[in-house]
Amino acid sequence: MDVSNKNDGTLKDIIFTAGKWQYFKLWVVNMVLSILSLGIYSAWAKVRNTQYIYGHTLVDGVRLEYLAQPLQILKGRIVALLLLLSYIVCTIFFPLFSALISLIIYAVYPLLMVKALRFNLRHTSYRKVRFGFSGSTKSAYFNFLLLPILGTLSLGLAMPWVLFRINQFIYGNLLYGDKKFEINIKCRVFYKAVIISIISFLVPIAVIAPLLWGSFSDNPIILIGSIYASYFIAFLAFSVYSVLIRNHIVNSLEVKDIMSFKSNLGFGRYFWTVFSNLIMIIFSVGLLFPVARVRMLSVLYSATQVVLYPGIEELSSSSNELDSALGEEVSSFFDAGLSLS
Amino acid sequence: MIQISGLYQSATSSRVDEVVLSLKEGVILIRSGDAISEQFNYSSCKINSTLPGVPTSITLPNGAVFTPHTTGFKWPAKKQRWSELLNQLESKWHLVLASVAALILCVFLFIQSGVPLLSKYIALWLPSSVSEVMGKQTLLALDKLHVFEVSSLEQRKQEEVRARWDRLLAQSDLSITGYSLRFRSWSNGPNALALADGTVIVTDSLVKLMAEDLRQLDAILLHEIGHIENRHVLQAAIRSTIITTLYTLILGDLDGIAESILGSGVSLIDLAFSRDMEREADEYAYQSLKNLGRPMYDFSDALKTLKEVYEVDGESDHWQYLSSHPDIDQRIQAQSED
Repeated sequence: MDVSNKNDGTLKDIIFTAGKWQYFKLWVVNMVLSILSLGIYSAWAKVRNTQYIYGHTLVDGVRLEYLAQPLQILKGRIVALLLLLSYIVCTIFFPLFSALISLIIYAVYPLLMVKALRFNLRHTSYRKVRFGFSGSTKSAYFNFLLLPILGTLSLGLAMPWVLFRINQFIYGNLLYGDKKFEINIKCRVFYKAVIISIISFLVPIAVIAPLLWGSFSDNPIILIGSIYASYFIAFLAFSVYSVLIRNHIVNSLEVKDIMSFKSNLGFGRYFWTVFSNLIMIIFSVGLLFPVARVRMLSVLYSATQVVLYPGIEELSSSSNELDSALGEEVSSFFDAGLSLS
Repeated sequence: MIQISGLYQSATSSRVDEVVLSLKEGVILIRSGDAISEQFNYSSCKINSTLPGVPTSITLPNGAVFTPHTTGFKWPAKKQRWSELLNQLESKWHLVLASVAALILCVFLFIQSGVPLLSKYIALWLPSSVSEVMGKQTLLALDKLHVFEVSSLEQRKQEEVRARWDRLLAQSDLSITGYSLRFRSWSNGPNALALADGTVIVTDSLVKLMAEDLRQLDAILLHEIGHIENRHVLQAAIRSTIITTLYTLILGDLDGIAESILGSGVSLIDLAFSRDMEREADEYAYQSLKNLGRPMYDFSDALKTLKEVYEVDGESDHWQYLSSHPDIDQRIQAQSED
């Protein structure tokens, strides 16, 4: 779709041509090779999986590129594995130290997040121009560690503001080449999204709970059933928040004179995809994860458009420096990863 | 001569041009419109990774990249490249399905036999100082977190049980230094447990329950000694380490919810192993009773006494008890098979 915009920008769809089962095949072959090589190949597998996804993502006919080198990832992975192993050994063998170790992990978490963001963005390029992240470690500690503590101390009242600040920190520090992203998000939208999602959690609960009241004690099936039902409703409410915030963030992002974005992600489609993906992954014991990934990205990309301005043609391309993959690997093992899609 | 249209991405800027590339006798010509803009030696170009459904690009000697529009286009090359071989593997369904089957089988076999065997060997190989630190820390943690309280058993009773314990060790030819007995009060009822360093903890309510017939308590103590002799605590810890590490490595890509739900499946594997260990310790208890010339029903009587308490206690306790241990009736019956 090529529609002229008022500021001579052109609206472009993100074309995502990856096939669910094509990616599944690629993922399985690489997984088998990783296992046969006792995990060494997994670094190459990661590069290849990402190259596939990026290679099938087109904006204005040009594909995204993944530039990380397998050896970089392997080095990061080995160190991350040693850390993970010592963490697990400590928690299982020496329970007294485990509290100390959790504290250490909590303390390095912001550092890992910044390193991971920097690594992932530095190795993503569009039209030979790399993305990047300019947030400092100091402000990462402020945003990822101090603010959540303040939010908790305020009994959650300041939490939407904390989420607003965190998103402002992440997206406001994105770089395209040496151009900074501008983000124009509003704090009140976060309050609105949180309130709407709390309402969409409480209303169904308030309707269902009185109906079942009293039958909990006699029938364990009803009790277990209602626990699952409340998980489902919580999941639904969280999805409401995710969709509202995703649309708001993407619509407020811009690289001046180069690109801006539009998102009109619909709740029904998003929720159905996330939920069916979850069921699919659980019942296949993780084996259908690649299928789920392609389904999710298809929905996200088809709800996103990019406005390109003439300035996109006149940027100078980035140099080929390499960063350490350590932060990215450690944070993905310790579940601190962040996905920007 | 090969002629193909595609995108030309300049090395120095974000510019992208629509061009036609022709390759003839080892020379590449890039044409934009009608004019020939550039000319290169094909042998100094680098062919990039081939991926399913993605056109294979080449990097030209000046750093620019040419990406053909056609997906299936194959660049002439002297030898097959690794990514091309991968690309072929990745597009064959039967190969993929066979790998999935092999993968499931491997994981199953490894968990079924590899993990227990591996943990057994590692447990033997680890220095005894590990078990010592581990046992001390566990006891300290249980005490500090007030899981256990100081025993309120009278001194006389404690000494009586301790004397029987010493006799058991002496009669079984076990060194007294490797084992120690401790009394603790625990709010959740009669129980005994073994720690990695050879400490056996007996709860007050267990001693009281079996005060009438201390031979039953002896049998329970033998069961706990069985855990220690077989280095079960250490093995269990090693096993959890292996399974948790593998699980994180393999499923680390998943997002939060899916990972935690699949993670709870991992604990089921752990429970299955825990039941095997209980059976091993039961066997040890029965065998020791036999060697000591005592009736083997001492242990099954002890189990029956325990069963009564836990059945009166209500269903949830019962359920929990049975999940980490084999079915109690089966354990009682196991004796008659010996």
